[in-house]
Amino acid sequence: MGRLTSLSLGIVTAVGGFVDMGELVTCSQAGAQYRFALLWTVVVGTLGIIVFADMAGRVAIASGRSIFDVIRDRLGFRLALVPLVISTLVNVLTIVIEICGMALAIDILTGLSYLWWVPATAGLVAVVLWFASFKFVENVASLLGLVILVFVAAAVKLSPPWGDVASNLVLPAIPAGQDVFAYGFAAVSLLGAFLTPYEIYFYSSGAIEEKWTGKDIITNRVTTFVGFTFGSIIVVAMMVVAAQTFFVHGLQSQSFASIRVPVVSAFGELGLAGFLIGAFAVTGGAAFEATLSTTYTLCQYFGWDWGQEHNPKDAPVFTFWYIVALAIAVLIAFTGIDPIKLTIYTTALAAFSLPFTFVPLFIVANDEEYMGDMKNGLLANLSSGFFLAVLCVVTVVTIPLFILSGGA
Amino acid sequence: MGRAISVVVAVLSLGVWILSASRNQQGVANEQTTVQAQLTAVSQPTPTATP
Repeated sequence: MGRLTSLSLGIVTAVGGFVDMGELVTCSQAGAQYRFALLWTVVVGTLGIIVFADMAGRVAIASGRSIFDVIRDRLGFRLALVPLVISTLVNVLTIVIEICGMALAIDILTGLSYLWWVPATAGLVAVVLWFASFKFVENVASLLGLVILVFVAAAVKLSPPWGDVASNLVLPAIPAGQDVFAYGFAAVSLLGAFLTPYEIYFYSSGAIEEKWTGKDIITNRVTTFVGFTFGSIIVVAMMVVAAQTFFVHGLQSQSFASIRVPVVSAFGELGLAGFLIGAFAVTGGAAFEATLSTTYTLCQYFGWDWGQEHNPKDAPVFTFWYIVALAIAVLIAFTGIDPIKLTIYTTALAAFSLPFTFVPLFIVANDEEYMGDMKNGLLANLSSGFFLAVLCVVTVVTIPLFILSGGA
Repeated sequence: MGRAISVVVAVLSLGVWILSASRNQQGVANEQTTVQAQLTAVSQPTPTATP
């Protein structure tokens, strides 16, 4: 039973983290604009997140400490400030887009602007975080998030050419007549959406919350592999249905409201209901995770008491900071900044910031003092080294691509 | 002093919220129209086989 509970940690991180506002927007636009030509990014992103989440879980198990706690200890207070500042910025922007995503789902249902609903969605996140346990948040988000499988059902119903889908998963190709810089920026944004830092901090801190021990090392590997692979199937389906509807009819996916078009065309009102519940659940789950991640990293860096299992009165600083993070996110949303553009910019910023999260993690995972006999082996170092090289290239090219593509 | 600043920030936030939401409300109907047009378009047969 305990193993099954642990497995759900991977599933919720995958559904609420791997599938969130970033994927809803970027996959819909990628499928509409480039058909299947960006599917290969799902494979790269999934393998990358599996490698680094497995490493983060192993660090938590081996050291009994969360990764930011260990990173500060290993790199020192000053140097660890760099990943803290960058990840906090990305995390807060992620909270903004996720609470806007929840509000946009209600907007479609009610016809009232999402901005009227933003305080309610942020308030819901705060209330649940205040009263609910880690397990409750994890299980409810994971169960409701399964409704987003409506995209997989729609992909099957829309009968794409599966041979083309399969070949584009492994063979990168730039479609003829497309702006190469815009294509590159779209690829970078997708990778940023798949590899957002908050997933790693949430996963590692969750392992501490659930009191994982050495016996959970296999559970860690299975949850990362099964959970993120499960998430990647949904993401592939999102891109495929966008290609099968928008691309073949020469349409664009310009807004959050447009993302529902493929599932509504496949299943009518039932598809709309599935989209609204699923989109609300995955953005809600991601809002919880991003808010917790923001507060986890701050508290772990400064050595304050932290944990969703604590009563708010027992961890007042932790409680204070998640309320502050949500309040800042609400104020940013109030400015009326377009949540779709903000999602693209946030995923691009996440892509740019990836080495600042993963290089310190890589250093710690190779330190015998913290890891003992669980430190990285040859295979882990080869795979993570490869992905670190990819991420460094992504960091270098993100800003030039953004400029050259005219902000995509 | 702290209380006065809090009240000013709260009032300003409320003002920005109402202003932004009111402006955005005007675009909601247009967005629904666009989506309806897209739903109509995708319900038509696929124009040509895509390479």
